Amino acid sequence: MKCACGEKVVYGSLCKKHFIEDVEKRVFSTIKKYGMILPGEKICVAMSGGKDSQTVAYLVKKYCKTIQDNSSKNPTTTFASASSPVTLEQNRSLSEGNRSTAPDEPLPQDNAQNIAGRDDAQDTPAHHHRLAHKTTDEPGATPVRDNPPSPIAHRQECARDIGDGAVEALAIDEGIAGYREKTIEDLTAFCSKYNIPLIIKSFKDEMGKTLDAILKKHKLKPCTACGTMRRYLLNKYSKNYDKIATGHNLDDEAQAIMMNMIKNQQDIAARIGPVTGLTTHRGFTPRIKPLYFIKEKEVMVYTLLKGFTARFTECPNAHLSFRNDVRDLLNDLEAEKDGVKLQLVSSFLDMLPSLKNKFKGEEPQYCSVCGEPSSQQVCNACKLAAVVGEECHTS
Amino acid sequence: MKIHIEKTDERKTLEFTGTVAELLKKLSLNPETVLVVRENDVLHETDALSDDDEIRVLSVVSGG
Repeated sequence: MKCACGEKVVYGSLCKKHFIEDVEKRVFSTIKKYGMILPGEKICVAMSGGKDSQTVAYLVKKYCKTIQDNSSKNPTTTFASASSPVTLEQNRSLSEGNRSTAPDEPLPQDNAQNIAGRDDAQDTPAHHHRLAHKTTDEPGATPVRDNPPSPIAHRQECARDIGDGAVEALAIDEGIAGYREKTIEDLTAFCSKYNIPLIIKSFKDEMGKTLDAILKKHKLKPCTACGTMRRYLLNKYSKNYDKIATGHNLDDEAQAIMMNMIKNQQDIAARIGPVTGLTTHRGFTPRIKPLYFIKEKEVMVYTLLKGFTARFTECPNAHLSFRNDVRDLLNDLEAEKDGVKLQLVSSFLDMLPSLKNKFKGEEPQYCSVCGEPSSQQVCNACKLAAVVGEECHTS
Repeated sequence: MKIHIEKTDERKTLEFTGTVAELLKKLSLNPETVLVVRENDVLHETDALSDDDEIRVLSVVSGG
């Protein structure tokens, strides 16, 4: 089977070159459509070392570099007009809750009886002001300074800011023997190759125990415990960044939507989407999902074609999660009818504004133990730490 | 044909001639969940396979 250009196809109806171009075009389009990356913003990529995180890190960096190059060629062009149909003013408006599809909360990544899913952020005036300040075209939009530069100088400074130094990686080592050490090895090599600074934090350092040790001693659902601490640590150690970019793909989102529907967790469903946390708590770093419309299989093909070294290992605990059952169900449906996952996600995005409206009145809170943003008096990470019997939050 | 299913580290030798899609059906593998690679080349579902081939079947799922 041949691509329209005459080359052999590798995926769908596209050859290697056109498949890579198509994925990149769709990812950049998603970034632009949802105003995920704004001038001068510093992006933290949450990385595991697997295919999704390597792909999102590479593409976020490429996107930032493209903007930088475009801006250098035409320094009088603003970032918004050069890179995105979403202007700064529009984005600020979106940040204030007017976007048609934007969620404002992160997604519980696993089955969520899920102590995990309910401890993330809501809007607060304090953070709202901080964010609004950042997204203006005023001097304070980029890292704080005393003497505002001229608008053109500011745009040029943004160009520098958003270039090579704008993307860094944060990894969480849960301590899963036979799995995480391999992905971290790949991750370290990847970050070194692409010149992305890498920070690694571990459950062991934070809680005194690896996930394996915790699960050995306590009867907990692996993905629930893991997801709780991962989200907590990612937020805790990303406070110096404007956004966290995650490698969530279309499959992840379709699964989350289905899981929330089955469990009737409308409040959690109201928080998910391509961008989470734009109207959020003080202390909560907004999250972006540039791979939102890319299927997991497409991410994998892209990774292979780009020659990234990511061992395609599956977490040994994956089969224990409810997500695993939902994943199988959706993959069976997708095999029967191509496009099911995209249609599910698209339907959800259409209904998200009304869902958000239904739950918009909830007051934000902060954990009484650690002070982190939480939808409850005590956050799930602290509840988990109490169960495990260890002190965490040692910052 | 030599097949290495990496997820389960299973190695098989099969007599098979046909397309990738037909092979996956024979192995009862959902094409949404796997990718077939031959000498580092990503194969399309319509690509032809022969008895001489050595292929790897990679799991698409990598997370938890």
